[in-house]
Formats: sequence, structure tokens, C-alpha cells
Amino acid sequence: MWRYVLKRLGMMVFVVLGVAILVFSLMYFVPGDPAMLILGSGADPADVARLRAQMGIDKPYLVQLGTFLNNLLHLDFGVSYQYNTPVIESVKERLPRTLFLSVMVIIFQTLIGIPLGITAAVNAGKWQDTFCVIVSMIGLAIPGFWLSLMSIKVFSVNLGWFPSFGIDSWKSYVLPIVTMAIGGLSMNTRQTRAAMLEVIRADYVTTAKAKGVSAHDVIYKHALPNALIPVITMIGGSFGGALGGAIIAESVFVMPGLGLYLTNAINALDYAVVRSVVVILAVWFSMIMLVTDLVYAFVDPRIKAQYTGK
Amino acid sequence: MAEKKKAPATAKKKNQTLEIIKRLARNKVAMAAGIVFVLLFVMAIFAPLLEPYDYTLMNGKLAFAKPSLEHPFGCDRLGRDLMSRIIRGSRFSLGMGLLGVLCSLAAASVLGSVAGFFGQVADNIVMRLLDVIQAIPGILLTMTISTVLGRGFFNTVLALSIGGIPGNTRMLRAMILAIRNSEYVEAASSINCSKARIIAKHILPNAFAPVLVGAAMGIGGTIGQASMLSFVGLGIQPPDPEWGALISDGRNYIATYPHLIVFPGLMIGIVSLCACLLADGLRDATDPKLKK
Amino acid sequence: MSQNKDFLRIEDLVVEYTSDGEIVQAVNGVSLSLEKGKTLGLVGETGAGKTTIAKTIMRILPEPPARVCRGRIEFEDRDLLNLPEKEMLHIRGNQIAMIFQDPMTALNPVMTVGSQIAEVIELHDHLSGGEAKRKAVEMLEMVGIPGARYDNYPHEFSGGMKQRVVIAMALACAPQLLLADEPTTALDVTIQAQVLEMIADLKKRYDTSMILITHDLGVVARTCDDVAVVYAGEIIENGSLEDIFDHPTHPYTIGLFGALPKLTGNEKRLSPVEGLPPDPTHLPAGCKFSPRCPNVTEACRSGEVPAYEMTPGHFVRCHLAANAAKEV
Repeated sequence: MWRYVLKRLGMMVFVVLGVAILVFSLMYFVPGDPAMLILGSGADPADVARLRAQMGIDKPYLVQLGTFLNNLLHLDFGVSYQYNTPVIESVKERLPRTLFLSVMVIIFQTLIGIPLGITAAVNAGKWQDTFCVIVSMIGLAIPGFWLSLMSIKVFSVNLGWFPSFGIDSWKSYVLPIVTMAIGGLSMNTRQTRAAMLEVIRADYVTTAKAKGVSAHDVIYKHALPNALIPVITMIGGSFGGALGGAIIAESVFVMPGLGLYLTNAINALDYAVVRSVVVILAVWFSMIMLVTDLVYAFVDPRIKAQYTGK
Repeated sequence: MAEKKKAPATAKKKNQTLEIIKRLARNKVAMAAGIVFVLLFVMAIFAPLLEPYDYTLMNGKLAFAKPSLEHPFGCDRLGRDLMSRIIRGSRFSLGMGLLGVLCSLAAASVLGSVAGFFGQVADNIVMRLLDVIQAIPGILLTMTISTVLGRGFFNTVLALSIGGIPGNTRMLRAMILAIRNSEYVEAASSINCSKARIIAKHILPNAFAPVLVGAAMGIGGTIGQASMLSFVGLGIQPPDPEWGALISDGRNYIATYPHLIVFPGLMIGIVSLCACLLADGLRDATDPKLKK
Repeated sequence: MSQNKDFLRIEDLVVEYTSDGEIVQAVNGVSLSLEKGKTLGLVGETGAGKTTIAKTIMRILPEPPARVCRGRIEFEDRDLLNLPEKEMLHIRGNQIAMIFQDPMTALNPVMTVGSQIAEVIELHDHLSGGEAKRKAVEMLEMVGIPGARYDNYPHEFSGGMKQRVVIAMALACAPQLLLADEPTTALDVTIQAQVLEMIADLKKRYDTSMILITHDLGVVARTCDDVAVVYAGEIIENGSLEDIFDHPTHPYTIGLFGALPKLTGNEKRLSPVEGLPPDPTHLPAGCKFSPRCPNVTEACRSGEVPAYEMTPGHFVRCHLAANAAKEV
């Protein structure tokens, strides 16, 4: 097992390196001259040239890439020209908020989506099933940011229950978490339902029934653990969606997290920030996926056996 | 009587495509969704004929007008008829959705086939590349690429389709591998079928249905992503009436003039819902396993 | 309540499935009986409704799509079809157990094989966890698997070993009736014999009655006391092993034996039964076998065919048998 963990950690290092190179290369080709941006279009060409040299962007691509990677290693993400502060300081302050938001989205959508999916599958064909199918279909179709805006209208403006922006109290988090979880929640419901329906039809479930196991235990002791195996991967994978949701939610609800930092930077062409934020979020995402894989390997004896060398 | 008894045996050999269409036709929900879906595309094509007003016509007196008989969806902050703008905007939204999915699938099928067909090395390269790309959460990847490429219709289509490549490639590769290792392909090659024939006769028909389902499913999601890009300041920007841009345009007036946001959002929801229902119906109709 | 009375009796059982809006008639008026300690072979082609009969006895048919339309199943003077589910739970796995066709999929992949056996013991024998485990280990060893493998998962076993586990599970509570649904079909020929022998041994030890579902006449000859031939959801001929093997009467039964190679014979070709089983959504009127029957007459194509008693206990559902039956 430990060998597997080490192997996966090693692979992750390469993936993260790949992401850093990819993101750097993408941003390298961004049209426009960062030095010109900082100084304004009417700047003296000599000043621009001096700033370019100072920023190191007059060097060849490979040298710049090397510098970028080396800096990353030392957690030096450069300076935001917009705020004129080191990116790392803003990240330190903002990352926990974004992670909190996305983790809460995951928890919310998992805790509600999976039971809904089970309920639907267990009552296949009955009204509970129809209800879950319709609601999850609609939840999947509605864009999250639109739902966020509508929730502001209803719950902030009209009812005054929750604030429409900022991060003053726990109340500030309710609308972003709920509205951004709807999509993932619907996805969880649909996939859990599908997984359960497939497992319920499996032969070993019939075997369990034939043993005299009660209907309740057949579902929760025999079918569910098998259905949850694919669902675990799904939860890990939905972290990507939740991070994306958090980014958008921060923009809608004006919450000072990494997402708002990023969207502002995109609009202000503050590429040092864009680059760093993308790499940092990718590292977090990779770590979550790694944990998911490990959990997955742990719960499925068939996969576990592959890695323990039995 | 005697002839009647023989009928069932021959009936088994019905044309498969016909069978799928028949099964789809029996699914009323999917059919309704399909019809709405097609009508929306017809609306996009004939947008200029269907718009009740010029979608750029400003009228100061009508600024923020609430929905009325003359302006069913109301007017925006510059007094432009929102319904006309939404109809015109369908060209952007539906176009980006459709093109984005098609381009993504085209690129993914090249990558997926390379990975699935040409042995270990190619497969490894493609898959490791995908590992790297997929380490960036989907929306973030699309946003990053969109930032690099800049705004505008075709740049956004490109960003959307690149964003969809990793997922689609994985799906196609898994499918090609499954089909390639299946016994019927082994059987075909054992009777000396040429590679081209195997691909054309055995692999493509079996891969077509899931790809179609994936495409139908993807359109809704892609339109949603496109509108989100516009919303965060990428993608299509006002004054172009892409649905996300309309929402973005109206977001500051949500407290007082919610109609500016309600209608474009509902349109996105309706398109996605139809795409979803249609995809579900297609999947049920094409998956022989579910017949039992 | 005499000992001789049939302890399992099925009367006029009809089961339908709904598939794609069409009704599939899986079982059409099956009547059967089984004496204590005896083995009944249910023989027939794939899709003839054999498994459905077994699952109906256990009441584990998925409903819907399946539906028991009419009939009666009496087991030890209890009407199984009208028994409350709660009482059925005490019968399943305890008094009636089932061995499934495919051992590869019949075991839960995320539970150890031992715990799967222990589960049934805990349920019915009301033993504590430790005792149930001890008994499960005993059962494993009885089917020839070292008890040390209690904590292994199904994927660590071969097909034959898995089937042994399934058998251990079915016999763990010493059921009075064992339903074995093609217990050897998915196994290698060499292992088939071992498994059959083991089932026969264990059956003797526990004095278990058995319904053996198979399409392998060789297996039937070796293990069964009585035989019922199933065709398109009907029992078209049933009787003792000798009745069926020495005096097959129904054209289909005769056809089945014609399709078997004989070691003693010197025939050049096997004679298969011509044609295919009927589409279960559109069964032919009259005798279900009439479209394939070499001796078909007009009378066969309409109306129900009654069962004729050839010799005591040997029933045949064929008009052709009527004359012979009268002669007896």
C-alpha cells in the first residue's frame, strides 16, 4: 500500500510540474506587453525596455520558464501589478476562504445528493423517484451563477434573510454554498441513482435476498457499499466543479477569496496573478484527487489487492 | 396461421437504426424535448425574421420597461427590446454550444483514436498529457484559455472546445479500447477483415451512439459554460446579446429590474434541460442492455 | 400431515414479465410436486422459464417487471405465495435455499466470503458473531476450502471455488429444499463432476430435497429421481427418471434425446430439434411446440392440450400421447 501511495505522490509531482509548464506557456502567448500595461500606452519606450528587463520578460522563453519554476519552488509567485503586492500574501489570505467555500459545497451536495439518489433508486418508478429525477434534471440545467443572482433577489433583497455580499458572518456563506451546490447535488443524485439501480440488479443482491436478508439490509448492507465505490470517485471529481463554483460565487457575492482575485486579475490583465492562482488551485485539485484515489483503493478490495501485491 | 407464427423469428432482424428511432419516438418526454430543441435552433437560424423589434434599437423612454404586451420580456437599461435581444442572442449561445461540442468531439476523437489504436507509447503520451490538463479544474481551464485567446465568438468556441477535450478524449479512448478488445472485433479480425473494414463496420457503428449521447449532453453544459465566461468578463461581451452577456449586463439591476436576468437565465435553463432530456432518451434508446 | 405427502406442490403457476410494453409469458400454468428427500430435474432450453419457477418459489422475482398472475405454491402445508414477507424471510436461506447459475457474479465483491456465509447463519440460527463465524469456517471446510480463507474476498477465488462458497452458503442452515439453478453450467467440465458430487453428498447428509435446473441431460441422469421437461413456460412431460429416459413420449423430449450423442450407437448424425423456441411475447395458440413438431396435426394448433397420464406418475402434454394413454 505504501508503495502505491509513494508512486502516486511521485506521479503528482510530475503532474504539478506539467501544469506549471502548461500554464506558464499558455500565458506566455497572451497578447500584449505586461510592461506596457503597467506603464500605460503613452510610456517612454526606454522606460518600457527598462521595466521589461527588470521583470525579466526580455529573456528567452526557456530562461523565463526556468525562473518561473524556480520561483514556484520557493513559493515566490511574483507581484501583482494591480495591487503592487506579492501574490503569495494575497493567496495566503484568500485561499482558505475559497477552499472553505468549495469544501462546504462538496459536503452539502454530497450529504443531500447521495441520499436523494438512494431514495430514488430504492423507490424506482414511484413518485419519489420521479420527483428526484425531475428535480435533479432541472438542477443540472440551471446555471449556478444565475441561481446565485436569483437567490440574492429573493433572499437578500426581498426577504432580507441573508446578506448579498461580503463575508461578515456565517449567513454570508449560506446563499453561495447552497446555490453553487445545486448543480453538483443534481449530478450526485443522478449518478448515485444510476449506480444503485445497476447494483440492485446484480446477481449478488439476488443471492442476498435468497439468503433471507431483509429488504432493508439487502439495500443498505449489500447494494449500497457496492454502489458507493463509483460514487466516491465522483465526489473527488466534483471538487473541480466545486472550486469552479466557488470562483464564480465569489464573483457574484463579492467575497474576497482566490476566485474574486482571479476574475479581477483576468479583467485587469494581471497575468502574474492569473498564472499563480491557476497553478495553486491545480495543486489543490491534484491533492484531492490523490486522496480520492487512495480512498477508492482502500474501499474496493479488488483494487486494493492490485496495489498490495497480493 | 402458419405464416403468422413464423413472423416473430424474422422480425428480430429489424434495422437497428430504425429500432432506435422507434424506441426514441415512444419516449414522449424525450420527443417533446427534442422538438423544443430543434425549434430553438430554427429560431436561431431565422432570428432576424422572428425578432419583433430591431435588437439594437434604443429607446430612452423604454429603459428598464417591465414586461408588457408590446414587450413580452420587457426592455433593458437602454430601452432595447429584451425578447428581440434574446432571440438574436440564441445565435451566439446555441452556436457556441453546438460548435464547441462538435470541435471538442472532433479533436477528442483524433486524440482518443491515437491513444486507443496506436499502442503503448502514443497512448502513454496522450494520457499523461491529459493527466496534466485535467489537474486544472474544468471551468478554470476554460477561463485560462479564454484569457489567453481573448474575447469573441470563435475564440470562445475554441476555448470551450479545448476545455472539453480531456473529458471527451478519455470517454472515446475507453470506448475504443472496450470495443477493440471485444470478442466481435476479435471474431472479425479472425476471419481476415481488413483494419479499415473493422473500423468502418464494427467500431464506428458501436461508438456512434455513445458519442451522440455525449454530444447531446455536452451542448447544454457548453452553453452554460459560455454564458459563465461572458458573465465573468470573458467570452462574448455586451452589446452582443449572448445570454450570459445579457445576464452580466443586468446583474447590477437585479434588485429592481429582475426581468433583465430572469429571462436569459430561463432560456439557458430550457436549452440545457432539453439537451439533457434528449440525451437521456437517446441513451435509453441506444443502450440494448436496458431493453431487459 | 403424513410423511408421504408431497412437501412441495406447485399448482397452475402463471408468471408474466412486462418488457418494453410487451407481456412476456414466462411460466404458463406449471404444476409440480416433489417428495421429501427426492431430487427433481427441471430440464429445458435457455429461456424456457426454469429459473423463473425457482425464483417464484423463493419469492425473489423482481416485481415489477415480473408478476405472478395465478397459482399456488404449497411448501410444508404453507401457501408461500400468500405468506407475509416477514415469514418469507425465515424461509429463505433457512428452509429453502438457492444456488445460482453464475458463481462469478453471485458473491458480493466487497464482503469477505466468510462473512457472507456467516451472515446467513446469524440470520437464521440466531448465533452470536463468534459462533456464526466458527460455523461458517466449518461450512467452508466441508466444501473443501481451508478455513483460513475465511477473510478472502471473492475475487481471490477461482470460479469453482466460488461455486463451493455459494453451495456452502446455501447449505449453511441445512435447508429442507435446495433450488440449484444450473449449478455447474459456468464451470469447467472437470470441476462440474466434483461440484455435483459434493452437492449430492451434502444433500444426503442433510436429507435435503432438491430441484435441479439444468439443460444437461447427463447431469439429470446422474442426480435426479424425477424429471420435468419445460418448454415455453409449460411442463410438457414429467415422470420418474426411468419414465423420461426410457420412455420419452413428447416429440420435444424425444427430440432432446435425439440431440445427444450415444456412446453405444453408431448413428452418423445427431438430430437436433428443428427450429427455434417460440417468441415468448407471441406464443403460438394450442400446443406451444406445434410449429416445430414433426408430427403436428390440426388439433395441435388450437385449444389447450391436456396432460395425459401414460403410466402412473408419467404425464405428457401431447395429443399424440392420448391414444397411447388410453391403451394403457
